Amino acid sequence: MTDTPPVMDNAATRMTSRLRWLRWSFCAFAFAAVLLIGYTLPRLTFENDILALFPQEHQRAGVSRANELIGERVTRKVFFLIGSDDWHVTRAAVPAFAQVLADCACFASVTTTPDASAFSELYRIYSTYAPQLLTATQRTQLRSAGGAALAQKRLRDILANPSAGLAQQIQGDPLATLNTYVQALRPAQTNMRLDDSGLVSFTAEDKRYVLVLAELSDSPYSVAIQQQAQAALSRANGQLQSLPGLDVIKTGALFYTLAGTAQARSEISTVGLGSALGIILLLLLVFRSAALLVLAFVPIVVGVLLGLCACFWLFGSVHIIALVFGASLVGVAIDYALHFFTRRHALASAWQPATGMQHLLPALSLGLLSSVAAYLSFTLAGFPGFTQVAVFSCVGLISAYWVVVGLYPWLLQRPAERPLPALLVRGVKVYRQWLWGCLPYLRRLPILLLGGLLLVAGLWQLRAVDDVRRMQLPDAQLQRMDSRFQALVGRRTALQYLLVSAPGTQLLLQQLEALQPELRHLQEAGALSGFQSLADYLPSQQQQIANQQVWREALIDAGPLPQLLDQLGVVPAVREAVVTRFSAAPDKFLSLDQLSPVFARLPDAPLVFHEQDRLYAVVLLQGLSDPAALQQLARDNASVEWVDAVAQTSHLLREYRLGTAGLLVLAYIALWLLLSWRYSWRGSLAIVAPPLLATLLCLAALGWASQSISVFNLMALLLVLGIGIDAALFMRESQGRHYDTLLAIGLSTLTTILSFGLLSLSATAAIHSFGVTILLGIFFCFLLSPLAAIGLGDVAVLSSSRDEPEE
Amino acid sequence: MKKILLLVLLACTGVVNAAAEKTAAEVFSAPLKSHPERQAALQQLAAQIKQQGAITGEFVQQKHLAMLNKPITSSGRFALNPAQFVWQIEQPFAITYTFANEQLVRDMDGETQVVEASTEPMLYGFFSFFTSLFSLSETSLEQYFTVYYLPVSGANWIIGLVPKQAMLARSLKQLEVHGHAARIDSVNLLEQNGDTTELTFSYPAAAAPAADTAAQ
Repeated sequence: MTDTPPVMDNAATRMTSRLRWLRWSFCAFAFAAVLLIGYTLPRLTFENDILALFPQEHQRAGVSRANELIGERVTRKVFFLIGSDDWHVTRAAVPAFAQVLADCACFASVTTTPDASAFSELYRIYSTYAPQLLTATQRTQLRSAGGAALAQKRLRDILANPSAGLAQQIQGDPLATLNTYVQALRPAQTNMRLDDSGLVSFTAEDKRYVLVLAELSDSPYSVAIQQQAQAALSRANGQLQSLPGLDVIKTGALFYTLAGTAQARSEISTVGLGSALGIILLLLLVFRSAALLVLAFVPIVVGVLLGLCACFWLFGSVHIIALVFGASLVGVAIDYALHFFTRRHALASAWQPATGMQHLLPALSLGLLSSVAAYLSFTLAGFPGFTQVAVFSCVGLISAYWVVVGLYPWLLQRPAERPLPALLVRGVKVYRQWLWGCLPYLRRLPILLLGGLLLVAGLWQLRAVDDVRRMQLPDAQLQRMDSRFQALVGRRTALQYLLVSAPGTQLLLQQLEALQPELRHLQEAGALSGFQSLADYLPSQQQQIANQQVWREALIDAGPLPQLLDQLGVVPAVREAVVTRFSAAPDKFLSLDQLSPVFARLPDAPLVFHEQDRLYAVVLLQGLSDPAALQQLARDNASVEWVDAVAQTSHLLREYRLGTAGLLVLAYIALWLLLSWRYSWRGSLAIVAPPLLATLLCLAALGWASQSISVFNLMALLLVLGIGIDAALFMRESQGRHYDTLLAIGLSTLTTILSFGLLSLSATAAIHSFGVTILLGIFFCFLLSPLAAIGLGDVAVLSSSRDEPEE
Repeated sequence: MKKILLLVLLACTGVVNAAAEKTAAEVFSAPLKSHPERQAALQQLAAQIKQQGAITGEFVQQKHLAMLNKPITSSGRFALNPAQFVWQIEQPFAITYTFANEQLVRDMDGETQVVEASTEPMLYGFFSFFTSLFSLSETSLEQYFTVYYLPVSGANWIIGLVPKQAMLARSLKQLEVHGHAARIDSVNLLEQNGDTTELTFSYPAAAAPAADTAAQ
């Protein structure tokens, strides 16, 4: 303290000791922060699952486990179809492509030759129970047409079959009923071919495409996996560049997450770069000092880094959405610096840290308190992603605040060397005169009525949309590839499914069997193109007995099997053994326990699981065109549940939109009460008025622009409250007298618009609506901020020269 | 015992000559890889066969199953060229299989049907195998089998094949291919359960299958 101020009143002395305390606490804080940042930064990992924004729902029993199982099976798979004008060149190039992918630790497996061993294993287990296994179609045919035609066809097949393994076929599956049963599980793909090296290929549009199957070693939402996979994919693609007329069709959740991350990255750089550049320009123009520019960014850097650390320690990884919103933290954190610098410049040679901080410290502290309160209210909304945003922002803001109140008064004890630009000062003063002049007109009835009418009409037009699919539009090119892949390789499995449950295996199987004819009926009616159920793989014991009976009556008692064996010239001992084996009533049954190990290896096995003493089975639906019909089916069966994750999420978003709206009202009331303690209830109302009116105007504007609103707009309005109340507080604390307060608020509005407003450029609807709402809300807040000074006496407000610092 | 029975059966067909009979067991004594000179000889043979271009001939197939008191016999004509392999069964009834571009098509009772590898793997594998065999494509044979080769007297030779993969080895024990110069005379297929399939080929002039042109 070299230049001690000439006059020190009591308040200034108290402030000096308070500043000293803040300085030392800042030193301790800075030391801890450097250690923490140094330790944490190299360990940071990012995550970008947009679904993490949405809460893990409080689901009905079994549903979350079923979703998890389906997710595991689906999300880690990656498929490629590689085609070119020359099949031989394609075939030669594909193994190198697959090898490059396989060399990456991000892929658990990469294959061009799908392993059929699980299916052979299934066949081997089935072979002991051949007569007990029949499809519904087989049963009907055997009952109505008998087995003579079947035996005739089988005789010809055996006699004309040039390949080996006949003895096994005749003894194990004499009439090929088991073969038919198994084939029904694996629908033949008409355009699929298998070459002698085991490559699977599909033909379409004069090209032959080789299928490459890969499985990621971790979730495609992991950013580490994405980076590795991205690098491996570009290396692998390099292997294919020489192919003439190359066409690669790729599908899998990985490509959507890659596209999502790339988009988030470019948006972060747009938002981050845009706001940084804008803010640098502003600061240079206003304060004309490179040192201040550097100093202005210290609280931001410290805030962002500590915010990242806090997210890492609390959540294990940082969500990319937290980072996107975090980039906007720049806009809020810089407000503290702006208020400080403006005040110092405006006071010019009269500046002293102790007196200067007298009205800055309460306003800064109350501003921080209200911003933190607004951010913390995000956590009440229950979205994990927003909880991270809240933690990130709160920690970031508190850190930035600490830097401004601890470091700035220490480093900036001398008055500013250069005054504020004269043109700017004059401009602000003129604007303030004009603004104050306008205030009386606002009190006139016709203007109030017209404004109110426009407001109500805008609000009246407001519509809410909660459909999650409209908030995150997937990449169109990827969707086209998806549908081409589906057209070539197979049918699309619907996101919706049926979940059937029962206390035991046999009961579950019986319920699934009862469902089969109804599903087939709907299939014939065109409501869906196919379905996959455990009942296709495993008949109930009851059904196994019935099947065996049909088999015996139609194929042994009626004679076809003994006749076939005679025609083939089977030796008597073997003939007797076969007939005896297939006519005996079943003494043991095919069970779920026998099939479970195979199901674990089979790519399309039915999903079955235990949870809390109940057994659950998922019935997957393909080519679903009439979800309502299946929903009705589930409604009619007590043990069947219709699960529609998309509808559930949309429903949740609606709940959260309503919840957030309630939160917003509550926050205004709470702040009003809180501020009444310092400013009386009328003054508090005046402070709350600018953000409140800005919120209503913003909603009305959205209504007039026919933009639908969702939970994300309301989240943004919570932020408008947090930032807007800052401006109002400063206005109130300065009693509307200092032109520098208006300048600081204007600068902070500009920086906020530069940062948050740029979010409105986002291609993700959710982030876009967030940005637009902030943009409008903060702008209206700035316009209305003088309202906060209302009630302090119009004389004070209108006299432009009183209590203003000397120029 | 079974081996002797097989040799007796082979002798009965009259195709395999006495010299070959003695050496039939010898062929499996050492794999091709350990005999560079035999490997060279086989490559030369393959080149010779390739030069021939199209091969047409007649076949007789007999399956001897332990559980049957009579063999299953079928006969017909076949044609092989670089583009396709046609297998036209005439007895006991007419069925034509055409294998081209790794796709197998069955013509039966005037109906054409694509046989999928996924639905009838054994049948598909049979044609895939014979296509590689007739072109003596060493690399494609090596993929599934350990290859043995034994030159016998004059231009006679024997190729032995033992499955490498467990899946194939579960049912198939070994294959013996007998040939003379650039011609394959017979193929004997021995299953693990002792059942045998034996194919004999003859090459009379104008033996091309009637369906050859239709299959284009």
